[in-house]
Amino acid sequence: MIVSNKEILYLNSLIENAVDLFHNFWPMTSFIHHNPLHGFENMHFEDAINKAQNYFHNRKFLSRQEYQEFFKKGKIKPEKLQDEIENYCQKNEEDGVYAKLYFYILTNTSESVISNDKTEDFIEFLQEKLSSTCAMQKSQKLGLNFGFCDALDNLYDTNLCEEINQKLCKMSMRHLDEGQAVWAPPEKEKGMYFSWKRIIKKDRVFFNKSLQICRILTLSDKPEDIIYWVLQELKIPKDEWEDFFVLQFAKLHGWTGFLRWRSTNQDYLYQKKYPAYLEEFLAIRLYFLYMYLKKTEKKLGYFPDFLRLEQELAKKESFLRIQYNSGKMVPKFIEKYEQAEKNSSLEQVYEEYMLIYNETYKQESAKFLFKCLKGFDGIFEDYGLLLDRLNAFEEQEGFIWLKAMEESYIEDLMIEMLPNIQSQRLNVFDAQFFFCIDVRSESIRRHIENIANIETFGIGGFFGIPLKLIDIPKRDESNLCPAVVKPKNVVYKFEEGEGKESIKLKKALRHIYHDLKYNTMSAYIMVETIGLLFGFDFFGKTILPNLYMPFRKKVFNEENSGKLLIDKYPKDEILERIKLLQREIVKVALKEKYELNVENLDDEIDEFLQMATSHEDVLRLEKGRIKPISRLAISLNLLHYEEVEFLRILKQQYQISYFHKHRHIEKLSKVGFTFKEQVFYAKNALKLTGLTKSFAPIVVFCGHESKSENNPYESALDCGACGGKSSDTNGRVLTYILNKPEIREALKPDIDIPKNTIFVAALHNTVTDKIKIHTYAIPKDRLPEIMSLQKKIDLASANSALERAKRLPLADKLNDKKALKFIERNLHDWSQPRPEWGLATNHSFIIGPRDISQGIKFKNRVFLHSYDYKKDKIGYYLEIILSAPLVIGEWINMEHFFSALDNKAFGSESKVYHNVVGRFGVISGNMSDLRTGLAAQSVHLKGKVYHEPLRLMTFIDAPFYEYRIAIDKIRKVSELVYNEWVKMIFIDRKEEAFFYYHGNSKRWKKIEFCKIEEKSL
Amino acid sequence: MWITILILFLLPVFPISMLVNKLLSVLNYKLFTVLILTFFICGNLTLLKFNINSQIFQFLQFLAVFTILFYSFRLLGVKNLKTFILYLYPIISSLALLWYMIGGDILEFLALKTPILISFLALYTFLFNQFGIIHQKSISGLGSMMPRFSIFFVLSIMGISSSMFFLGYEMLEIEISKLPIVYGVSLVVSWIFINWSSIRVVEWLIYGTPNKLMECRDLDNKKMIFFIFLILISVVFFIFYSLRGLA
Repeated sequence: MIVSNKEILYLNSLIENAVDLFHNFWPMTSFIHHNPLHGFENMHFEDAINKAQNYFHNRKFLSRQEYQEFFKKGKIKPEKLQDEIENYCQKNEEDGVYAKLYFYILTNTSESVISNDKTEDFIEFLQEKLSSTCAMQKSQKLGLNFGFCDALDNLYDTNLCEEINQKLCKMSMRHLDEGQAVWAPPEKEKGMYFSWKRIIKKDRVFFNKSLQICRILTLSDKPEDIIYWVLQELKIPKDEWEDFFVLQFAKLHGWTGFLRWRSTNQDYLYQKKYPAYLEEFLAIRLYFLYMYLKKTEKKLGYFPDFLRLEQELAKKESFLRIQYNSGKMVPKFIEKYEQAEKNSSLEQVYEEYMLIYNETYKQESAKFLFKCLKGFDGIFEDYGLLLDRLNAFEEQEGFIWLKAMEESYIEDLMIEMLPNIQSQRLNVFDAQFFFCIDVRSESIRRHIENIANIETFGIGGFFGIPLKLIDIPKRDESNLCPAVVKPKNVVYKFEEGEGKESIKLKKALRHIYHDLKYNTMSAYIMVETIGLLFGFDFFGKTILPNLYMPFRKKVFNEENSGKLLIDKYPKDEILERIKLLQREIVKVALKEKYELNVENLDDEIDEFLQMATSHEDVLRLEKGRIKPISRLAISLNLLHYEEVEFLRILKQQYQISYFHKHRHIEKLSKVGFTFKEQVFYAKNALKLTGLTKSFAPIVVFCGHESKSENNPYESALDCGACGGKSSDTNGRVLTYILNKPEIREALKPDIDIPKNTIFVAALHNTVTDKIKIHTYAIPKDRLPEIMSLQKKIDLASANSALERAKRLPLADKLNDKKALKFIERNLHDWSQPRPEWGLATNHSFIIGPRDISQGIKFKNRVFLHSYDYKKDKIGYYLEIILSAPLVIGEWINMEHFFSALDNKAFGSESKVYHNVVGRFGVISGNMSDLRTGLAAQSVHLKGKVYHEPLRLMTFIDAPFYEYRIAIDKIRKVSELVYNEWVKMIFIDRKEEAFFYYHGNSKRWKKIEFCKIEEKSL
Repeated sequence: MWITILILFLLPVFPISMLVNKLLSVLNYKLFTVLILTFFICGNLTLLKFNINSQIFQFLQFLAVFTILFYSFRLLGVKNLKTFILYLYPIISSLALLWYMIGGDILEFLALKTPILISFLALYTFLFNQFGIIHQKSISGLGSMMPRFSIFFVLSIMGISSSMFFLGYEMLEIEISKLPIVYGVSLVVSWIFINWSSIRVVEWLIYGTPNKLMECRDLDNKKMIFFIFLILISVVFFIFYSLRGLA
């Protein structure tokens, strides 16, 4: 059966719509924080969470107990909670006594009830009052809420979902592997579906030639054929296809996310070599689904397609089955059910069960009401109505708590910032530091400003200069910019300071070690002979990490800063370099093919190369001709047919052709930045933060990174604005550009940089808070200043590290000296699952001058982006900040929000059970869905939530009426603000008020500064 | 004769075990656990007065091994803790008989098995008191809701199943060498089934997602001390008899 092109297109469009709800998952080498509900951002936040529960079966909000703890600690103000409850009651037209009751319940009742005689009496009383109440038998219908596989598992106590998941996980791990596995599946380069087909045909259980589906598999290479055929066989209505696909993808949303990313990144090396697409994934899943259903058919006596399943679900006995298999059956009826099932008499016991079920429901409802009313001073007439309202309230409770908590935080932030807003500071500084907006920069900035006369700025960690770094020594290629940006410029990094011989030796040793390790035979011998050497390594990094690891890094030269190629080559230099490269290739080819050592024939080779790289077929085989045409062939005594053959070999095997030459030209043209580009990026970086004059003698661009051992999540702790990598390179590139006199000249008159101002790069290690200023490019006469600055910075670093250490378990009880040592050890300790808290506890984003946030202890919870609206008349730079840094901030915030809220559904649970798979991700145990969120150790502490799930509260210091348009201009940002994924507040100094987008009323609310001042008193 | 009948009732082998199980299954949970324990202790003590007839020796040995194999196989499909205990009871009883028949010390057997059995049955009673039926489909995830209970439960159930046969160094030697090879193999297979079933019980009862609506009470300090005492007694006896066996 062959599906027509029209149907293929239709299926593909449905698949694309279905996967839109799932976020991309980037390989872990460049961990990108993302919103797990990114595909739902076009909906209101609350609606999105409700809908997402259908797919991910997640919890929607924290439990009441968790919020009560926040309430007890004063993080949720009683008046804010009352306001939210009153809003809820107004919306639902419930009178004041309900508001009072809800507030009472939220702040007083706990989960458990302690029974005694009095409680039993009251519960009985309530039960009588609920005599007319009965449980609603929720008849299950297939659809979003109750998927096909879930229905089967619940009805027939099968484990279909899990078994199919296991098949898919195994297949995905096999095909998507990026060099971890020693053996690859057959014909992997022909695609995932093709490769899987080769294997499944050998499976005696899941391949049966007599079945039509297996015949289709054999005859057709299109995954759409299988998809279409299975949909027809399962009789799924056409309008349900998309939902059906969504539910299939949702079962393994981690793998779905990764495949989605790969299929949209055709440049990715492994996708180019071993393509894999979502329709292939779906086809394989549906194939297994069909085969499992075929197996179930034997047991049931009928094929459980969609229509038949719906008929079964409508039966009374199905309700009993679902109750039993899902663990919801009333316990005292279980044995009777089992007996009835054996005797096939479930219909007969149905009425009996419904009586018990309703009775139990009344008892539970009475207990529930008791919990709510115990100690409450209020009278209710209709307990049935009360019960309904309380149930409805509990559904909304989480959102009420969340909003109350956010309102409390917003008010506190307003109170804290108000004194700064109302005063202005002008100063001349000894140095200026640019840090990433990362929350971890907050404390170091504060300590630096305390220690010395230094001004600090916040800017996206890539410093506004997106680039692709090709690190030659590490053989790594990465985009150092936000994930939403595609860099046009390439920078090469070369190793320096080491001799060629030393590099060759190390490379050779690495190759030998790798080959020995993965060879079946030598692996055993290797353990016996050199196993003890690894014992030293093991002992060193376990017992004495602080001493051993720095020594090891020095020996293997793992921290070589390298040399960067930043300036663009002129075109003629590019052509010259390509010519030299191709010349060498020709010489190598001649040696390999004809064993000829060619010297002093450069002109002849160049002529031959011109023929090879010509657009037209210059050198063609002429019949009957023996004498060669090219001078090279003449010099080497080659015959005509040999020169033609050699030309063909050069084109096909050595990539010397018109196409390849122009590709090289294109690639090398991307290397570095042109003069214009350098001016553009330099101007942007300075104007974005408002620093256009009053430059200090030293200006430092401080990139940041995190270092830890044995941590697959290391890149999650690096700079998010640099695609989960260190932002050191971006800082170095920008300082190089800004130190050039011609660039400074081109920046005038908008930006006037004095001659004595020097730009330097530095690197902030967020584990130890140490900042190292790079001194290699600094003129000798300026070194003493830099060294003096370094000393001051070291002191500030130590203070900041101590402040952050107090929040780390174990370190919080140590004295200062030991705490610093503890932090130092986290750099090298391979058993440490939590080297630092990273971005946990982030809650706000402040866009404005440093004035408004200076001196306030935000405890590393705030993103700080410098911005001066007075130097941005039309809001152009504000739009840049909103469209990139804010969006990235929102991704980071939401990632932490959902990972903390439900670490099982959205996070990746404990690191203890993690295993790296394919070199791009982690799974839990030996086989599971790809874990895409943050580990439990990153957001939880001792089983409790450490990161408080709060939406990003964004403050913009700019006049509301003039600058609000910046939000409306950017579709994504306006979606986030008006759907309440972020809370937006303007600090309007002109109006002397805060303008705050209030979700309840769906409008901007004005709060005067004086009102906030009153509250602070 | 009467002693033989009494023993076969108190330490039932197949098919008498089916009748005894039927009788025990209708009792309330407290009587159920007390009777099992009483039958077990009394049955073992009665063995001290038992003089086995050589004619029925072989047959009884066969029945004992068959009972162990039969019920260990049935344990694999158990979803209810009460049924688990009902099937375990003939297994331990048959083991007692087997131990006696190969010349083992009954008092040693009692010393090693009784504290663990008391612990297991007491925990069952504690659980039943709270939840009523303890079924795979009604209760799960107690590990996170009742951690103290879970620790002792796991220790007790593993103590019962894994120490089934390896009571001491001595028993290991005696058991395997004094029995015909077929019986030896059957016992090993049964041991695997019993351990596997115990792990499955632990899996559904202790692990998994708990029902948050369940109101649970964990062991208080007094009960904890009681269980610690039982576990310690078992360990002490185990060490004592192992050293005796080595000596």
